[in-house]
Amino acid sequence: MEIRPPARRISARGLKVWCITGIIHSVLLWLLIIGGGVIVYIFDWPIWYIVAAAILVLIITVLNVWIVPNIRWRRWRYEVREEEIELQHGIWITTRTLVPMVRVQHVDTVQGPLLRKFKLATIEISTAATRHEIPAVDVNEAEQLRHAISRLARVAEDDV
Amino acid sequence: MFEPKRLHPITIAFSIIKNIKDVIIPFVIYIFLFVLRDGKDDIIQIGSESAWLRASPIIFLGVALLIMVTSALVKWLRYTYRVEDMELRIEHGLFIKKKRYIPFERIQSLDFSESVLHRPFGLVKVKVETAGGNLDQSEAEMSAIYKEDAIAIKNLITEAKASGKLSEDQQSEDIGIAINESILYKITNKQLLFFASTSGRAGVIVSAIIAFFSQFQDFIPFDKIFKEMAHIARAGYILLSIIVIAVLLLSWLLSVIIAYLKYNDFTLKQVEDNLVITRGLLEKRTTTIPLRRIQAVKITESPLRQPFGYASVAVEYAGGSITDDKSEGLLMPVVKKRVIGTYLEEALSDYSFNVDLIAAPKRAKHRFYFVKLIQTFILAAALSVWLWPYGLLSCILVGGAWVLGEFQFRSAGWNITDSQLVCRYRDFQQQTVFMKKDRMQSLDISENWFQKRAQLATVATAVMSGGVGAAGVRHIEKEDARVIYEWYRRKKHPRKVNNPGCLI
Repeated sequence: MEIRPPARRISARGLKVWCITGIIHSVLLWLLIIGGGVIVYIFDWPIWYIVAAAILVLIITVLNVWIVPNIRWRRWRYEVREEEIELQHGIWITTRTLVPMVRVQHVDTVQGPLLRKFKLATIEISTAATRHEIPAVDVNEAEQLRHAISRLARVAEDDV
Repeated sequence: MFEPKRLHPITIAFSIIKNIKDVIIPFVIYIFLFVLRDGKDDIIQIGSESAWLRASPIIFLGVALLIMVTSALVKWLRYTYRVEDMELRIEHGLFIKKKRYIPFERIQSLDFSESVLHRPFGLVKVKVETAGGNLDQSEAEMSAIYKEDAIAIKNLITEAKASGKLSEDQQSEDIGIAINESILYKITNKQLLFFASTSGRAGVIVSAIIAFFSQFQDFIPFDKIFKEMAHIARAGYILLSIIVIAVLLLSWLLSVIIAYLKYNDFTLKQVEDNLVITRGLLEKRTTTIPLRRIQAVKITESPLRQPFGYASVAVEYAGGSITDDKSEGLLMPVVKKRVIGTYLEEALSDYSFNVDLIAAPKRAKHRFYFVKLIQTFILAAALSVWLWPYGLLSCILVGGAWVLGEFQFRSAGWNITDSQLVCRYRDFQQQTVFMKKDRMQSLDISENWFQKRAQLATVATAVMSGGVGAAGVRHIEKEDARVIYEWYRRKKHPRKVNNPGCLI
C-alpha cells in the first residue's frame, strides 16, 4: 500500500521563479565562459578548452532552467492538517516528511525580492531539532498558513 | 550566604593561565617571524632599529603580562555572587555592571567539577544549568568557590524547590546523601582498562600532531630536515617505519592514559528524578541529567568492543550546554550489551531495551556497498596510476569498503514497541537508538530511484539535543517504512475522524 501523497501543490508562479533563478545562475556562468573565451583568444590557448566548458555550461543551463525546476515543482506537495504537517519533495531522492503540530516551535514566512515580485513567500517551520520549509506559496495563503500553524501549535500543547 | 561573596582568589591565576593559553600561539609565531629570522640575518642589522626588534618580544611579553594580570585582578574584584530572595545573584563587569539573577526554579542543575588546581584548596568549579536558555553556553559559571559553599547553595536550591512542591522540612547535610539514591552502575577496574585501551582517541591525537606540524610548516625548515632525513631514509625504510610505529604506539599509550584518568571511578547514580554521573581521577566531574529531559538513549558498539560483547550507553538530553566534550551524556562507558536493560530498566522504565529488530531485506544488501565500492574503486584506480606501484596498496580500500557495507547491512534494523521506535544503524560504529514517539521532532522517509524500483526506503528522524540528535535506518522494506510512518502519525481525535481533510 502506498502512502497517499499530500494534497496541495505549491504555486504555479513558484515554477516561474525557479526558472528565472536558473536563468540568472546560467547567465553568470555564461559570463564566465565569455571571459574565459577572451582569455583563450588573447593567450592563444587551444580552443577546445573553452568549447568543452561551453558544452558543460549548456547542459547545466538546460538542467537549471527547464528540467530541475519542472521535476521539483511536480514533486513538491504539502498538506497542513490540525494534527500534523506533511511534506513531499526531492528530485532524485523523494522525501516524505511528517511533522506533528505539537512539535512545531515557530513558523516564519520569508520573502526574497524575486518571490516578492511574484507575490510568493516561503514558509519556514521549526521544531526543537529540525527545520522544514515550503517554498513559493502564495503570499495570502502563506499568511493564513502561518497563522493557522502557530494557532494549532499552541492548541496542541504537549510537553517536550 | 546572603552577603555578596567573591570567588576564591585562585580565580585570578586561572584567568591568567587561560589568557596565556590564548596568546601562546600568536606569540610563538611572532618569535619565529621576527626574532629568529632577525638573529640569522646579521648583515642587515642597522643600529638601534634592530635593538628594538631584539627587545620587542620582552616588551611585548611584559605589556601582555601586565594587561593580563590587571584584567584578571579587576575581573576577580568585580565578580560577586550571593543568594537572595530565592535567587542566585551574580554581578560582574567593570564599566558596565552586569547583573544576572537566576531564580531557583529555573535552575536545572548545578554541576561541579574540580581540577588538579582546585583540589588542594577544597574548591570546585560550579556550572549553573538552566532549563531552556542558550544552548551554546551555560547560564553562569563560578570558576572557583569552596566546596562547602557550593554544597550549601545546592542544598538551598533543592530545599527551595522541595518546599515549593511538597513543603518538606527535610534538611540534608550533603546533597550526595539525598532522599532517594541508588547506584546504577560503577565502572570496574577491568572494564576501565578495557575501555581505555580501546578508546578511539589515538587517531585523534595523531591527526592533532600532524595538524600541529602542518601549522608550523612555514616556520620550521622542514625541507632542510627532510633533506638530511633523506640520507637516513635511504639507509633504510625500516628505521622510518619504526619511527612511525613508535609514534603510533606512543599516541595510543597517551590516549589510554587520558581515558584512564578521565573515566576513572565512573559512577552512575539515580538521585530522585535525576541521573548523576561522577567521574575523573585528577579532575573530578559531576553531571546531572534530569530524567524528564532525556530525549533518546543511544547504545554505541565500536568495532573494537563489539566482538567482546561490550557497548557504551549515552543519552541525548535537552538543555545543558554544548561543550567540546562529547562524553556529556554518557551513562555507561563500557558495559556488557545484554545486561544494559537490567541496569537501566528502573531509571528509564518507559524504555524497553530487549527488543527484536526487523532487519533490512536481503535484496537491499548490495545497496549498502554499491556506492562505496564505486567511490573507492575510482580512488584506488587513480592512486594506482598516479603512485605506481605503491598506489596499488590502495586496493585494500575497496575491500574495506565492501566489508564495511556488509556490516552496515547486518546492522540495519528497526523495531516498534508501543510508543518506542528503535533504529539500529552503523556509520563505523554500530548505533542503536531508542526513541519515544513524543520526543521525536519529525520523521522523514525517502526513496531514490533505485530504491523505488526495489521497493525499499530510508527512514530518518531527529530528537532535540545538544549535538546531533539524528537517527535512522537505510534501505528497509518500503512497507516497513510505511508502518513506521503510520505509527508516527498522530492518532486523530474521535470527533475529527469524520473530517480529516485539509485545513486550508
